[in-house]
Amino acid sequence: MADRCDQRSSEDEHRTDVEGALEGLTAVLLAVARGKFDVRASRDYSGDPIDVLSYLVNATAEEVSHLVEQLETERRELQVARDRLVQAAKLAALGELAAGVAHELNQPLTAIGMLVDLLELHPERRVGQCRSDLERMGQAVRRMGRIVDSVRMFGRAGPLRRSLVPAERPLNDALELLAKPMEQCHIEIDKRIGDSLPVLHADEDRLHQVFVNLLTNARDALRGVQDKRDLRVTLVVERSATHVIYRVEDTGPGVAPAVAQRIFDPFFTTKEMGQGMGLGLSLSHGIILEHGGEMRYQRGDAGGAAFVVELPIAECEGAGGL
Amino acid sequence: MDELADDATGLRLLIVEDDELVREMVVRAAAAMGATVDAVSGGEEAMSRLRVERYDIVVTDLMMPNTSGLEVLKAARRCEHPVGLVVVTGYAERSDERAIAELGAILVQKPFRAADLVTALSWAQNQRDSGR
Repeated sequence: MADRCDQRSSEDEHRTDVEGALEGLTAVLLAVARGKFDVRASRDYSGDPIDVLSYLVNATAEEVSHLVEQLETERRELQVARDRLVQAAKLAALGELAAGVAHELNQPLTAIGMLVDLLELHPERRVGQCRSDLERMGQAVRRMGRIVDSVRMFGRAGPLRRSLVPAERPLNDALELLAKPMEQCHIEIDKRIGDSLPVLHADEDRLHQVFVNLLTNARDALRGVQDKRDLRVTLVVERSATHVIYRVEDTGPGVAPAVAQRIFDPFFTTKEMGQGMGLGLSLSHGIILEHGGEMRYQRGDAGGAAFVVELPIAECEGAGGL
Repeated sequence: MDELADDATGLRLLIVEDDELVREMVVRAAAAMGATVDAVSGGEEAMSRLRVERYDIVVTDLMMPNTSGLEVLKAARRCEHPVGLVVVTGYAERSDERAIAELGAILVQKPFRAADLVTALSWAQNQRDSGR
Protein backbone atom coordinates (compact mmCIF):
# COMPACT_ATOMS: atom_id res chain seq x y z
CA MET A 1 0.00 0.00 0.00
CA ALA A 2 2.75 2.32 1.07
CA ASP A 3 4.72 1.37 -2.06
CA ARG A 4 1.80 2.17 -4.30
CA CYS A 5 1.43 5.52 -2.56
CA ASP A 6 5.11 6.30 -3.09
CA GLN A 7 4.85 5.28 -6.75
CA ARG A 8 1.85 7.58 -7.30
CA SER A 9 3.61 10.51 -5.62
CA SER A 10 6.72 9.96 -7.78
CA GLU A 11 4.55 9.83 -10.94
CA ASP A 12 2.85 13.06 -9.84
CA GLU A 13 6.19 14.68 -9.26
CA HIS A 14 7.42 13.58 -12.68
CA ARG A 15 4.25 14.94 -14.33
CA THR A 16 4.72 18.25 -12.53
CA ASP A 17 8.34 18.38 -13.74
CA VAL A 18 7.32 17.65 -17.32
CA GLU A 19 4.51 20.23 -17.17
CA GLY A 20 6.96 22.79 -15.76
CA ALA A 21 9.51 22.04 -18.46
CA LEU A 22 6.86 22.25 -21.21
CA GLU A 23 5.67 25.59 -19.85
CA GLY A 24 9.27 26.84 -19.99
CA LEU A 25 9.68 25.63 -23.56
CA THR A 26 6.34 27.14 -24.59
CA ALA A 27 7.42 30.48 -23.10
CA VAL A 28 10.63 30.43 -25.17
CA LEU A 29 8.79 29.56 -28.39
CA LEU A 30 6.07 32.17 -27.72
CA ALA A 31 8.76 34.82 -27.13
CA VAL A 32 10.48 33.87 -30.41
CA ALA A 33 7.13 34.05 -32.21
CA ARG A 34 6.69 37.59 -30.80
CA GLY A 35 10.13 38.64 -31.94
CA LYS A 36 11.84 38.42 -28.52
CA PHE A 37 14.94 36.32 -28.69
CA ASP A 38 16.50 36.67 -25.23
CA VAL A 39 14.29 34.12 -23.38
CA ARG A 40 15.82 30.66 -22.70
CA ALA A 41 14.44 27.46 -21.18
CA SER A 42 16.15 26.29 -17.98
CA ARG A 43 18.00 22.98 -18.17
CA ASP A 44 19.07 20.37 -15.60
CA TYR A 45 21.78 18.93 -17.90
CA SER A 46 20.52 15.38 -17.09
CA GLY A 47 20.49 14.43 -20.76
CA ASP A 48 16.92 13.15 -20.45
CA PRO A 49 14.51 13.82 -23.35
CA ILE A 50 13.15 17.02 -21.73
CA ASP A 51 16.67 18.36 -21.21
CA VAL A 52 17.61 17.51 -24.82
CA LEU A 53 14.42 19.20 -26.04
CA SER A 54 15.24 22.29 -23.96
CA TYR A 55 18.74 22.34 -25.46
CA LEU A 56 17.30 22.14 -29.02
CA VAL A 57 14.70 24.89 -28.39
CA ASN A 58 17.37 27.18 -26.87
CA ALA A 59 19.71 26.51 -29.81
CA THR A 60 16.89 27.27 -32.28
CA ALA A 61 16.05 30.54 -30.47
CA GLU A 62 19.76 31.44 -30.58
CA GLU A 63 20.00 30.69 -34.31
CA VAL A 64 16.78 32.59 -35.15
CA SER A 65 18.04 35.55 -33.11
CA HIS A 66 21.32 35.51 -35.04
CA LEU A 67 19.56 35.26 -38.43
CA VAL A 68 17.12 38.07 -37.61
CA GLU A 69 19.99 40.31 -36.53
CA GLN A 70 21.85 39.53 -39.76
CA LEU A 71 18.70 40.20 -41.80
CA GLU A 72 18.19 43.52 -40.03
CA THR A 73 21.79 44.59 -40.78
CA GLU A 74 21.38 43.64 -44.43
CA ARG A 75 18.03 45.46 -44.63
CA ARG A 76 19.65 48.59 -43.19
CA GLU A 77 22.54 48.37 -45.67
CA LEU A 78 20.10 47.83 -48.53
CA GLN A 79 18.06 50.86 -47.45
CA VAL A 80 21.20 53.03 -47.38
CA ALA A 81 22.21 51.76 -50.84
CA ARG A 82 18.69 52.39 -52.14
CA ASP A 83 18.62 55.92 -50.72
CA ARG A 84 21.97 56.61 -52.41
CA LEU A 85 20.64 55.25 -55.68
CA VAL A 86 17.51 57.39 -55.40
CA GLN A 87 19.72 60.41 -54.86
CA ALA A 88 22.05 59.57 -57.77
CA ALA A 89 19.09 59.07 -60.10
CA LYS A 90 17.54 62.33 -58.94
CA LEU A 91 20.73 64.26 -59.56
CA ALA A 92 21.11 62.70 -63.00
CA ALA A 93 17.53 63.67 -63.83
CA LEU A 94 18.17 67.16 -62.48
CA GLY A 95 21.10 67.51 -64.87
CA GLU A 96 18.77 66.65 -67.74
CA LEU A 97 16.32 69.29 -66.52
CA ALA A 98 18.99 71.98 -66.16
CA ALA A 99 18.47 73.61 -69.57
CA GLY A 100 14.74 73.93 -68.99
CA VAL A 101 15.25 75.33 -65.51
CA ALA A 102 17.78 77.88 -66.83
CA HIS A 103 15.29 78.95 -69.48
CA GLU A 104 12.52 79.26 -66.93
CA LEU A 105 14.64 81.41 -64.62
CA ASN A 106 15.85 83.57 -67.51
CA GLN A 107 12.36 84.88 -68.27
CA PRO A 108 11.62 86.53 -64.90
CA LEU A 109 15.29 87.53 -64.63
CA THR A 110 15.01 89.38 -67.97
CA ALA A 111 11.83 91.08 -66.77
CA ILE A 112 13.47 92.21 -63.51
CA GLY A 113 16.59 93.55 -65.28
CA MET A 114 14.49 95.44 -67.81
CA LEU A 115 12.22 96.84 -65.09
CA VAL A 116 15.28 98.18 -63.24
CA ASP A 117 16.48 99.84 -66.48
CA LEU A 118 13.04 101.33 -67.15
CA LEU A 119 12.73 102.63 -63.58
CA GLU A 120 16.16 104.24 -63.89
CA LEU A 121 14.88 106.24 -66.84
CA HIS A 122 12.79 108.24 -64.36
CA PRO A 123 14.94 108.85 -61.27
CA GLU A 124 12.63 111.66 -60.22
CA ARG A 125 9.72 109.27 -59.57
CA ARG A 126 8.80 108.40 -56.02
CA VAL A 127 8.26 104.81 -54.88
CA GLY A 128 4.50 105.31 -54.83
CA GLN A 129 4.53 106.17 -58.52
CA CYS A 130 6.39 102.97 -59.36
CA ARG A 131 4.03 100.70 -57.48
CA SER A 132 2.82 98.67 -60.47
CA ASP A 133 6.39 98.04 -61.66
CA LEU A 134 7.47 97.03 -58.18
CA GLU A 135 4.51 94.68 -58.04
CA ARG A 136 5.64 93.15 -61.36
CA MET A 137 9.12 92.67 -59.92
CA GLY A 138 7.54 90.97 -56.93
CA GLN A 139 5.64 88.64 -59.28
CA ALA A 140 8.82 87.80 -61.16
CA VAL A 141 10.67 87.10 -57.92
CA ARG A 142 7.84 84.87 -56.69
CA ARG A 143 7.90 82.98 -59.98
CA MET A 144 11.64 82.41 -59.61
CA GLY A 145 11.06 81.30 -56.04
CA ARG A 146 8.55 78.67 -57.18
CA ILE A 147 10.99 77.30 -59.74
CA VAL A 148 13.83 77.19 -57.22
CA ASP A 149 11.53 75.49 -54.67
CA SER A 150 10.56 72.90 -57.20
CA VAL A 151 14.21 72.14 -58.02
CA ARG A 152 15.08 71.97 -54.33
CA MET A 153 12.16 69.68 -53.60
CA PHE A 154 13.34 67.36 -56.36
CA GLY A 155 16.95 67.27 -55.24
CA ARG A 156 16.29 66.80 -51.53
CA ALA A 157 17.59 63.60 -49.95
CA GLY A 158 16.19 61.93 -46.88
CA PRO A 159 13.97 59.23 -45.41
CA LEU A 160 10.24 58.93 -46.14
CA ARG A 161 8.41 61.82 -44.44
CA ARG A 162 4.66 61.80 -44.66
CA SER A 163 2.35 64.74 -44.21
CA LEU A 164 -1.10 65.72 -45.45
CA VAL A 165 -0.76 66.72 -49.10
CA PRO A 166 -3.52 68.02 -51.42
CA ALA A 167 -3.71 65.37 -54.15
CA GLU A 168 -3.13 67.66 -57.13
CA ARG A 169 -0.14 69.53 -55.67
CA PRO A 170 2.75 67.13 -56.47
CA LEU A 171 1.59 66.99 -60.11
CA ASN A 172 1.18 70.76 -60.37
CA ASP A 173 4.64 71.31 -58.84
CA ALA A 174 6.19 68.86 -61.32
CA LEU A 175 4.50 70.79 -64.14
CA GLU A 176 6.17 73.94 -62.82
CA LEU A 177 9.48 72.35 -63.88
CA LEU A 178 8.34 70.62 -67.06
CA ALA A 179 5.67 72.85 -68.63
CA LYS A 180 8.14 75.11 -70.41
CA PRO A 181 10.50 72.38 -71.69
CA MET A 182 7.41 70.60 -73.04
CA GLU A 183 6.13 73.76 -74.67
CA GLN A 184 9.54 74.15 -76.30
CA CYS A 185 9.07 70.73 -77.86
CA HIS A 186 5.64 71.92 -79.11
CA ILE A 187 3.87 69.53 -76.75
CA GLU A 188 0.33 70.44 -75.76
CA ILE A 189 -0.64 69.72 -72.16
CA ASP A 190 -4.25 68.66 -71.64
CA LYS A 191 -4.86 68.89 -67.90
CA ARG A 192 -8.06 67.44 -66.46
CA ILE A 193 -7.98 67.76 -62.71
CA GLY A 194 -11.19 66.80 -60.92
CA ASP A 195 -12.97 69.05 -58.42
CA SER A 196 -12.77 68.60 -54.64
CA LEU A 197 -9.86 66.19 -54.67
CA PRO A 198 -8.94 64.73 -51.29
CA VAL A 199 -5.68 64.89 -49.36
CA LEU A 200 -3.08 62.14 -49.23
CA HIS A 201 -0.93 61.10 -46.31
CA ALA A 202 2.25 61.08 -48.32
CA ASP A 203 5.83 62.20 -48.78
CA GLU A 204 5.31 65.18 -51.04
CA ASP A 205 8.93 65.34 -52.24
CA ARG A 206 8.84 61.74 -53.39
CA LEU A 207 5.50 62.06 -55.18
CA HIS A 208 6.85 65.19 -56.87
CA GLN A 209 9.78 63.07 -58.03
CA VAL A 210 7.39 60.44 -59.46
CA PHE A 211 5.53 63.03 -61.54
CA VAL A 212 8.72 64.74 -62.71
CA ASN A 213 9.85 61.30 -63.92
CA LEU A 214 6.57 60.53 -65.67
CA LEU A 215 6.41 63.95 -67.35
CA THR A 216 10.08 63.75 -68.40
CA ASN A 217 9.45 60.32 -69.93
CA ALA A 218 6.38 61.62 -71.78
CA ARG A 219 8.38 64.55 -73.14
CA ASP A 220 11.23 62.28 -74.21
CA ALA A 221 8.81 59.88 -75.91
CA LEU A 222 7.27 62.76 -77.88
CA ARG A 223 10.58 64.40 -78.73
CA GLY A 224 11.42 61.65 -81.19
CA VAL A 225 8.06 61.78 -83.02
CA GLN A 226 8.45 63.02 -86.61
CA ASP A 227 4.86 64.16 -87.15
CA LYS A 228 4.59 67.23 -84.94
CA ARG A 229 0.85 67.72 -85.43
CA ASP A 230 -0.43 65.84 -82.41
CA LEU A 231 2.12 66.01 -79.61
CA ARG A 232 0.02 65.87 -76.50
CA VAL A 233 0.30 64.84 -72.86
CA THR A 234 -2.99 64.26 -71.08
CA LEU A 235 -3.01 64.50 -67.30
CA VAL A 236 -6.06 63.22 -65.46
CA VAL A 237 -6.57 63.28 -61.71
CA GLU A 238 -9.78 61.86 -60.26
CA ARG A 239 -10.92 60.09 -57.12
CA SER A 240 -12.69 56.89 -56.26
CA ALA A 241 -14.14 56.12 -52.82
CA THR A 242 -10.74 55.06 -51.49
CA HIS A 243 -8.07 56.26 -53.91
CA VAL A 244 -6.82 59.17 -55.98
CA ILE A 245 -6.14 58.02 -59.54
CA TYR A 246 -3.62 59.81 -61.73
CA ARG A 247 -3.15 59.11 -65.41
CA VAL A 248 -0.25 60.48 -67.46
CA GLU A 249 -0.74 59.66 -71.13
CA ASP A 250 1.21 60.72 -74.20
CA THR A 251 0.62 60.48 -77.94
CA GLY A 252 4.10 59.03 -78.54
CA PRO A 253 4.93 55.64 -80.06
CA GLY A 254 3.99 53.70 -76.89
CA VAL A 255 5.90 50.76 -75.50
CA ALA A 256 6.34 47.38 -77.19
CA PRO A 257 4.81 44.48 -75.18
CA ALA A 258 8.24 42.91 -74.53
CA VAL A 259 9.54 46.22 -73.20
CA ALA A 260 6.35 46.85 -71.18
CA GLN A 261 7.07 43.72 -69.13
CA ARG A 262 10.42 45.09 -68.02
CA ILE A 263 9.48 48.73 -67.80
CA PHE A 264 9.70 48.92 -63.99
CA ASP A 265 12.98 46.96 -63.78
CA PRO A 266 15.91 48.95 -62.41
CA PHE A 267 18.49 50.07 -64.99
CA PHE A 268 16.18 49.10 -67.84
CA THR A 269 16.08 51.91 -70.38
CA THR A 270 15.23 52.34 -74.05
CA LYS A 271 16.87 55.77 -74.08
CA GLU A 272 20.24 56.33 -75.67
CA MET A 273 23.45 56.26 -73.64
CA GLY A 274 23.68 59.40 -71.52
CA GLN A 275 19.93 60.08 -71.76
CA GLY A 276 18.96 58.39 -68.54
CA MET A 277 20.02 55.77 -66.02
CA GLY A 278 16.94 53.62 -66.41
CA LEU A 279 16.01 54.15 -62.78
CA GLY A 280 13.18 56.67 -63.10
CA LEU A 281 10.29 54.25 -63.48
CA SER A 282 11.74 51.66 -61.15
CA LEU A 283 12.17 54.23 -58.38
CA SER A 284 8.78 55.79 -59.07
CA HIS A 285 7.20 52.35 -58.83
CA GLY A 286 9.02 51.77 -55.53
CA ILE A 287 7.83 55.12 -54.16
CA ILE A 288 4.20 54.39 -55.05
CA LEU A 289 4.40 50.93 -53.43
CA GLU A 290 5.96 52.54 -50.36
CA HIS A 291 2.80 54.67 -50.12
CA GLY A 292 0.55 51.60 -50.28
CA GLY A 293 -0.44 52.51 -53.83
CA GLU A 294 -0.16 50.96 -57.25
CA MET A 295 1.48 52.00 -60.50
CA ARG A 296 0.96 50.32 -63.84
CA TYR A 297 1.56 50.78 -67.53
CA GLN A 298 -1.25 50.74 -70.06
CA ARG A 299 -1.43 51.32 -73.75
CA GLY A 300 -2.92 54.80 -74.24
CA ASP A 301 -6.11 55.51 -76.19
CA ALA A 302 -4.09 57.05 -79.02
CA GLY A 303 -1.54 54.22 -79.01
CA GLY A 304 0.97 56.05 -76.80
CA ALA A 305 2.08 55.22 -73.29
CA ALA A 306 -0.19 55.71 -70.28
CA PHE A 307 0.93 55.40 -66.69
CA VAL A 308 -1.69 55.02 -63.99
CA VAL A 309 -0.88 55.79 -60.37
CA GLU A 310 -3.35 54.99 -57.59
CA LEU A 311 -2.76 56.30 -54.10
CA PRO A 312 -4.90 55.67 -51.01
CA ILE A 313 -6.75 58.69 -49.60
CA ALA A 314 -5.64 59.77 -46.11
CA GLU A 315 -7.75 58.09 -43.43
CA CYS A 316 -8.68 61.37 -41.73
CA GLU A 317 -10.14 62.56 -45.03
CA GLY A 318 -13.90 62.96 -45.16
CA ALA A 319 -15.96 63.42 -48.30
CA GLY A 320 -14.63 66.89 -49.09
CA GLY A 321 -11.19 68.47 -49.11
CA LEU A 322 -8.96 69.39 -46.16
CA MET B 1 21.26 104.37 -67.43
CA ASP B 2 19.77 107.85 -67.60
CA GLU B 3 18.12 107.39 -70.95
CA LEU B 4 17.78 104.82 -73.69
CA ALA B 5 19.30 105.77 -77.04
CA ASP B 6 16.52 107.24 -79.19
CA ASP B 7 17.78 105.92 -82.51
CA ALA B 8 14.58 103.98 -83.04
CA THR B 9 12.39 107.03 -83.57
CA GLY B 10 10.06 106.45 -86.48
CA LEU B 11 10.81 102.75 -86.77
CA ARG B 12 7.99 100.22 -86.78
CA LEU B 13 8.71 97.16 -84.65
CA LEU B 14 6.96 93.83 -84.29
CA ILE B 15 7.64 92.09 -80.97
CA VAL B 16 6.88 88.34 -80.80
CA GLU B 17 7.18 86.92 -77.28
CA ASP B 18 4.97 84.42 -75.47
CA ASP B 19 6.03 85.46 -71.97
CA GLU B 20 3.70 88.30 -71.04
CA LEU B 21 6.03 90.08 -68.63
CA VAL B 22 9.07 89.92 -70.94
CA ARG B 23 6.91 91.06 -73.87
CA GLU B 24 5.69 94.07 -71.93
CA MET B 25 9.25 95.02 -70.96
CA VAL B 26 10.54 94.81 -74.53
CA VAL B 27 7.58 96.86 -75.75
CA ARG B 28 8.20 99.54 -73.12
CA ALA B 29 11.95 99.71 -73.79
CA ALA B 30 11.40 99.95 -77.57
CA ALA B 31 8.72 102.60 -77.06
CA ALA B 32 11.13 104.52 -74.80
CA MET B 33 13.53 104.53 -77.76
CA GLY B 34 10.86 106.20 -79.86
CA ALA B 35 9.76 103.19 -81.90
CA THR B 36 6.15 102.41 -82.83
CA VAL B 37 5.51 98.92 -81.52
CA ASP B 38 3.10 96.08 -82.21
CA ALA B 39 3.31 93.06 -79.94
CA VAL B 40 1.95 89.53 -80.33
CA SER B 41 2.26 86.41 -78.20
CA GLY B 42 2.74 83.74 -80.86
CA GLY B 43 4.31 82.89 -84.21
CA GLU B 44 1.04 82.35 -86.10
CA GLU B 45 -0.20 85.81 -85.23
CA ALA B 46 3.18 87.32 -86.09
CA MET B 47 3.11 85.72 -89.53
CA SER B 48 -0.37 87.05 -90.31
CA ARG B 49 0.75 90.55 -89.19
CA LEU B 50 3.78 90.31 -91.45
CA ARG B 51 1.51 89.60 -94.43
CA VAL B 52 -0.45 92.84 -94.02
CA GLU B 53 1.78 95.27 -92.11
CA ARG B 54 5.14 96.72 -92.96
CA TYR B 55 7.72 96.47 -90.16
CA ASP B 56 11.29 97.74 -90.06
CA ILE B 57 12.47 95.35 -87.34
CA VAL B 58 11.10 92.09 -85.96
CA VAL B 59 12.13 91.03 -82.45
CA THR B 60 11.14 87.43 -81.75
CA ASP B 61 11.49 84.79 -79.08
CA LEU B 62 12.70 81.41 -80.36
CA MET B 63 10.85 78.79 -78.36
CA MET B 64 7.14 79.39 -78.56
CA PRO B 65 4.21 77.00 -78.65
CA ASN B 66 3.04 75.90 -82.13
CA THR B 67 5.20 78.11 -84.35
CA SER B 68 8.88 78.66 -83.61
CA GLY B 69 10.73 81.97 -83.89
CA LEU B 70 12.66 80.54 -86.86
CA GLU B 71 9.41 80.37 -88.85
CA VAL B 72 8.77 84.01 -88.01
CA LEU B 73 12.27 84.96 -89.22
CA LYS B 74 11.74 83.09 -92.49
CA ALA B 75 8.36 84.80 -92.99
CA ALA B 76 10.00 88.20 -92.35
CA ARG B 77 12.69 87.38 -94.91
CA ARG B 78 9.96 86.68 -97.48
CA CYS B 79 8.70 90.29 -97.15
CA GLU B 80 9.41 92.45 -100.19
CA HIS B 81 11.07 95.19 -98.15
CA PRO B 82 14.18 94.71 -95.99
CA VAL B 83 13.53 93.83 -92.33
CA GLY B 84 16.05 93.87 -89.48
CA LEU B 85 15.84 90.72 -87.35
CA VAL B 86 16.51 90.21 -83.64
CA VAL B 87 16.09 86.92 -81.76
CA VAL B 88 15.77 86.98 -77.97
CA THR B 89 16.02 83.57 -76.33
CA GLY B 90 16.77 81.84 -73.07
CA TYR B 91 18.08 78.75 -74.78
CA ALA B 92 19.26 78.05 -78.32
CA GLU B 93 20.61 74.78 -79.71
CA ARG B 94 23.72 74.97 -81.90
CA SER B 95 21.60 74.18 -84.96
CA ASP B 96 19.29 77.10 -84.09
CA GLU B 97 22.27 79.44 -83.75
CA ARG B 98 23.41 78.46 -87.24
CA ALA B 99 19.93 78.96 -88.70
CA ILE B 100 19.65 82.37 -86.98
CA ALA B 101 22.99 83.47 -88.43
CA GLU B 102 22.06 82.20 -91.91
CA LEU B 103 18.84 84.22 -91.81
CA GLY B 104 20.90 87.30 -90.95
CA ALA B 105 19.42 87.81 -87.50
CA ILE B 106 21.22 88.90 -84.33
CA LEU B 107 20.90 86.69 -81.25
CA VAL B 108 20.36 88.22 -77.81
CA GLN B 109 20.54 85.74 -74.92
CA LYS B 110 18.18 86.06 -71.96
CA PRO B 111 18.56 87.45 -69.42
CA PHE B 112 19.31 90.67 -71.25
CA ARG B 113 19.16 94.30 -70.16
CA ALA B 114 17.79 97.36 -71.90
CA ALA B 115 21.30 98.32 -73.15
CA ASP B 116 21.62 94.93 -74.91
CA LEU B 117 18.31 95.57 -76.63
CA VAL B 118 19.46 99.05 -77.69
CA THR B 119 22.61 97.55 -79.24
CA ALA B 120 20.66 94.79 -81.00
CA LEU B 121 18.05 97.19 -82.39
CA SER B 122 20.75 99.50 -83.64
CA TRP B 123 22.48 96.55 -85.32
CA ALA B 124 19.20 95.39 -86.88
CA GLN B 125 18.47 98.92 -88.10
CA ASN B 126 21.88 99.11 -89.85
CA GLN B 127 21.25 95.72 -91.36
CA ARG B 128 17.86 96.84 -92.68
CA ASP B 129 19.37 100.05 -94.04
CA SER B 130 22.07 98.10 -95.83
CA GLY B 131 19.15 96.52 -97.68
CA ARG B 132 19.36 92.92 -96.65
